[in-house]
Amino acid sequence: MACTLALAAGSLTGCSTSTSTSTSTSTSGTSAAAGAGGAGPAVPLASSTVTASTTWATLAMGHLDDPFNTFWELLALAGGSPWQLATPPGVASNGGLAVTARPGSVLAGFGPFQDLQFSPLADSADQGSSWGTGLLPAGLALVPDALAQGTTDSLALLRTGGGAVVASTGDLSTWKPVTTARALARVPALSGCHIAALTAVTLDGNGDALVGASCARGARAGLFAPSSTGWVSVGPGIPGASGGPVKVVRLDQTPAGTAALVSAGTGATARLFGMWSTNGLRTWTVSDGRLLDGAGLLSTGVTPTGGFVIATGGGEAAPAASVITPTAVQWQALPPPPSGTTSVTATPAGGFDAMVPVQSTLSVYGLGGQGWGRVQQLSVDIQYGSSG
Amino acid sequence: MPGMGHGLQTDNPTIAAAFRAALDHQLLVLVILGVLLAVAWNVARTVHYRRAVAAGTLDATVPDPWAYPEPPARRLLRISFGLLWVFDGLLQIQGSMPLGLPGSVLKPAAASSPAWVQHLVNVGTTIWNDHPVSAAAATVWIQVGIGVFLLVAPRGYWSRSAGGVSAGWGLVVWVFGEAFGGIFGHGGSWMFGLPGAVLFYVVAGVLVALPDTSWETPRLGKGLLRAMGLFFVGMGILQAWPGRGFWSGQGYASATPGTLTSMVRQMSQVSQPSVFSSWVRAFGTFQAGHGWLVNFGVVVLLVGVGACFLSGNLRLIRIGVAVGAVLCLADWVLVEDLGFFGGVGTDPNSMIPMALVFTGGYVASARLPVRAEAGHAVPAGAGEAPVVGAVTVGAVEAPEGAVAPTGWLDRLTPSYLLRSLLAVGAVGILLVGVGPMAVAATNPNADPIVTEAANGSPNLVDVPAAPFTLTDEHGRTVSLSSLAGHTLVLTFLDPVCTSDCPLIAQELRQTDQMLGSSAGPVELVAVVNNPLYNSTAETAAFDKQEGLDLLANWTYLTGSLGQLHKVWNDYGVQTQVTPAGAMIAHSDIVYIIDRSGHTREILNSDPGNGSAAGKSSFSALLAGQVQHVAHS
Repeated sequence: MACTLALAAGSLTGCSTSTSTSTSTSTSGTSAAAGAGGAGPAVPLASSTVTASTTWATLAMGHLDDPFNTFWELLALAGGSPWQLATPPGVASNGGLAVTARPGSVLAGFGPFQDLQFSPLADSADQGSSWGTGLLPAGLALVPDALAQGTTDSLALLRTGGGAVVASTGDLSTWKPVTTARALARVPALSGCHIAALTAVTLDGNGDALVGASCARGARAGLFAPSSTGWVSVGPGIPGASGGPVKVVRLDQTPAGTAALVSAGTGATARLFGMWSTNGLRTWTVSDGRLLDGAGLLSTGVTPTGGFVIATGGGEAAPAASVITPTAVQWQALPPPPSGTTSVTATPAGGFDAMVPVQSTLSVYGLGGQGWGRVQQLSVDIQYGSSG
Repeated sequence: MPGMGHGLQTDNPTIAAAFRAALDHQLLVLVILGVLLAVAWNVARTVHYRRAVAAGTLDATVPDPWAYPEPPARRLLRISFGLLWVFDGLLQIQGSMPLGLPGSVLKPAAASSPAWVQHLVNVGTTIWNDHPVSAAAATVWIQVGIGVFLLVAPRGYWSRSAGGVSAGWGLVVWVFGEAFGGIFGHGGSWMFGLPGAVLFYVVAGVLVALPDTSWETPRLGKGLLRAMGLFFVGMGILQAWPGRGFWSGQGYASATPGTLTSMVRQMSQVSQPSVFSSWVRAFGTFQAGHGWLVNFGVVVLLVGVGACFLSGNLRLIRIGVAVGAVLCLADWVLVEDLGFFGGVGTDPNSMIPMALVFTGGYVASARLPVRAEAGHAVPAGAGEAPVVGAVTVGAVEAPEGAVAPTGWLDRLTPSYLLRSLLAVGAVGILLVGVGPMAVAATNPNADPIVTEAANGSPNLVDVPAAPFTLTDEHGRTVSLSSLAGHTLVLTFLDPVCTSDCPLIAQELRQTDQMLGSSAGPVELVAVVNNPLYNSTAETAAFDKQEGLDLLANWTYLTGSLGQLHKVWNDYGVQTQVTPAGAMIAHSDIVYIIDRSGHTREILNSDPGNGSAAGKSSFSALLAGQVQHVAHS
C-alpha cells in the first residue's frame, strides 16, 4: 500500500534493498584484524620485502571502493627484469595477501573473504612460476609480517582473539599453537605493554619465534621472545615515548639483523622508529622518530640493506616517502612520489619504485636523478565480478 | 561458465507465467463455486415458490427483516471501501507483484522505521520472498473477496462480518505491508500518506462492523469527526515543524531541494501517462520556487479543516468536508500521483480513503437512519411487521384462507437468500486467497519456483553415471560402485571458494534436513573442483567451515589431478584457473543419481546472490527431486 511514495521515501532515506552474503570484507590498504588492534596508525597491508635478488610487493588493485572488486596482487621484481605479476592462482585475493620471502623461496597467505573463513597458503621455490599449497586452520591476520619462513619451520599469525601464533615444520597444512595475545597478556613480565593485539612474527637466526605486538601503553617496543623461563620482552625503549600506544608495524630478518619498524603515539604526534639488533636481541640500535604529522601510512617496505622505506598520505594529503637505513640515525625524505601512489618499494639494486594502480593498470615510477619517472606500465587481467 | 548469479528481475517470465497460471486456476475454482451457488439459488427459489404456492402465500408480501434502509453513512463507507478493496485486489494482478513487492514496496516502507518495525516487516517480506506466486495470488483474492463481501452483504451479521474481515486484513497490511504507515519512522508527512492509507480501511471496516444501533444517533459521526479533526490538526503541526525540509523548495539550481520538492520530482519520473506526469512536474516547478508558500498553505488548510471538524458545528463541518475533500484531491493528484503507478502500485494511496472516512463521519452526524428519524422502533421478529410509533410498515398480507408460512425457508425472502448466497460466494473468494496464504505463511521452505525461475527446471535424463574412484576427507577410497544402493546427490565444490560453493554446501545441508527420515538412503557427495587446492586437508577444512563434518551422509572427495580431470570431463564440469587473484571459475551443477547408478536429473545450482529465499527454494526443489528419484 502507498507503494510509490514508499519507494520514493525509501530512496530519500537511503534505503538499500540489496542482499549480501559477505561475512567479512577486506579494507584495501589497511589492516582489518590483529594489526589494527590498539591505537596508533593503522598498519597497511601494502608492503614489500627484498631478498638478495628479488623484491616482492603486495598491493590492492581494481575498484578500490568495492571490496568485491578489489584484488590483492603480488608483484615480483627480479634483478634486470621488469615487474611481473606473481599472484598465486587458485584463490580469490579480495581478502588481502601477506607475503614473506627468503632467498630461494616465497610464502604467501590469503586473507579470509566472504564465506571463506580459513586462509589458504601458497609457496614457491622458483620465483612464482609454480606454487605449492597449504592452509591455515583459521584466518590470517591482515598485516604485512603475518608469515615468517625459516629453513624448515614457518610461523603464522592468525587473526583470532587479538592474534594467535602457530608454527609448522615443513608441512604447510599442519600447524601447532605457539602462543596467543591473551596468553602473552597474562605473563607478568610483559604486563607493562598492555597487549592490545599481536601484529607481526618472524623467526630469528636460530629459528626461534619473535612476536611483535601493539601495546596500549608503554615506553618499549612490544617485542617478545620465548626463553627458558617463558616469554620475555626483548624490545628496546622508545626515545621520548611517554607511555602512549606503541605498535610493531614490521618485523623481519634482514642483512642488518633483526629489524623492526615501530610506531609510537597517536594522531599528529605519532612517530615511526627503525630499530635493529645484530646480537641476538640483546641490544638494539634505534633511529630517530619520523613524525607522521597526521598522515596515514600507505605502505611499508624493507630495503636490501635491512632498512625501511615508507609511503604516507591518503585522503587529501599528497603522498610522501621516506627511508631509514640501519646505519643512519635520521629518516631521509625521498622526493614526493607521483599522485595516486599507494606503495613505494625498494629494488634489489637499492633504488626505489613508486606504484600507482588505476583499476587494472599499474604504473611504476622509478626514482632517478631527475626525480620520479615512469619506468613500466603493467596491465593486470583483473576478473571483475568473479567474486560476486 | 557461471561466475556469480544475479537476482531475479521483477518481470521474470517463469514467475510471471506461474502467477498467471495460479490466478487462472483459482479463477476456475471460483467459477465452479459460482456455478454451484447459482444452482443452489435456483433450487432455493424453486422450493420457495412451490411452498408459497402450496401455502397460498405466493402473492403475499413478506416483510423484509430490514424494513429500514441502511444508515446512509454506513452505506457510503461500505460501498466505497468495497469498491476500493476490489480495485486494490485487481491492482495486485500486475505481473511485477510477485517479485517486485518486497523490494520496491515493503522494504522501502520500513526503511526509516526502528529495527523492531523492520523486523516485523521482514517477517512478511520473508514469507513473500519464499512464496512469491502464492502470496501474490492470495492477496488478489483476499482483497477482491473483501470488496465483494462488503458490496453484496449490505445488512446483518454477514455485513458486519465483512466489516470485521476488512478491518482485520487491513491491520495485517498496515503492519507488515506499510510498516505501521511510517508513524515510527522519520520524514513522514500527511502529504505523502502518513499514517498509512490502509489504516483508513481499518477504520471503515470497524465502522461497518458496528451494529445498526450505533448509527442511530449523531454521536458516532461526531466522534469520528472529532478524531479526524485532531488528526488533521496534528498533521498540520507536523507539517509546520521546522527542520524537516518542508518549508524550502529549491531556490536555485545548485541548492539542496526541499523534502517535498524531492518527492514530487521522483513521483514525476514514475512510469505513468504523460498527462499526469506533466501535472506533477508543473506542481513540482511551482513548489520549488514557492516552497514556503505551498507549505504555509497546506499547514493552514490542515489546521483549518481540523478545526472545522472539531467545532461540532454542522455548517463549519460542511465547509471542512468540502475544503478537506478538495485538499485531499489536490494532494492525491499532484503529490501522491494517484498512488498506483509504477508497476507495483497496490492502491490509490491515502487521500481517497481519508476523504471517505471524514465524509462518512459528516453523513453520520448530519443524516440519521430512517428508523431513528422516525422515532423509537420496536425490533421486529421474523415474519412480524416492525412497528414505528403508530406506523405499521411492511405488514404481511395473506390471501383469505391462506395458510401462514411456517418453515424457515418460507420466512426468508428471495432477496435475502440471494444476498446470503452472494455472501457465501464472497467468503469463497476470500478462502481461495486465505488458504494459500496460510499455507505459505506456515511453510518454512521457499517454493521451488524461485530457483526454477533463476536456474531453469531440472534436466531429466536417464543415463548410466560415469564411474569414479576418489578419496574422501579421511583418506578412504570411495567409488561410485561403493555407493550403489544409495540415491546420490553429486556436486562439484572448490574448497577455497569464497562464495558459491559455501552457499551450495549450505543448500545441500538444508536439503538433507528437509529430507528428514528420507535422508537415510541418500548420500551427498561433493568432488573437489580446484586443480590447485585439492588436498584432503583442504576438503576437511571446508567440511569444518560449513559444519558438514557432522553430517553422516556427506562425503567430500578428491584425488590426483589426473583422477579429478577425468571426473570433471566425464560429468561435463568446466574448471578454469583465472588470473590476478580471482578464484577458480567452475560450473555450479548437481546430479541426482539413482540407486542403480543412473543419472536421472541435472540441476543448475548457481546460488545467484545467495538470498535466503533462493537458498531455501533450491533446497526445497532438490529435496523434492531427490524424493522423486528415490521412489521411482
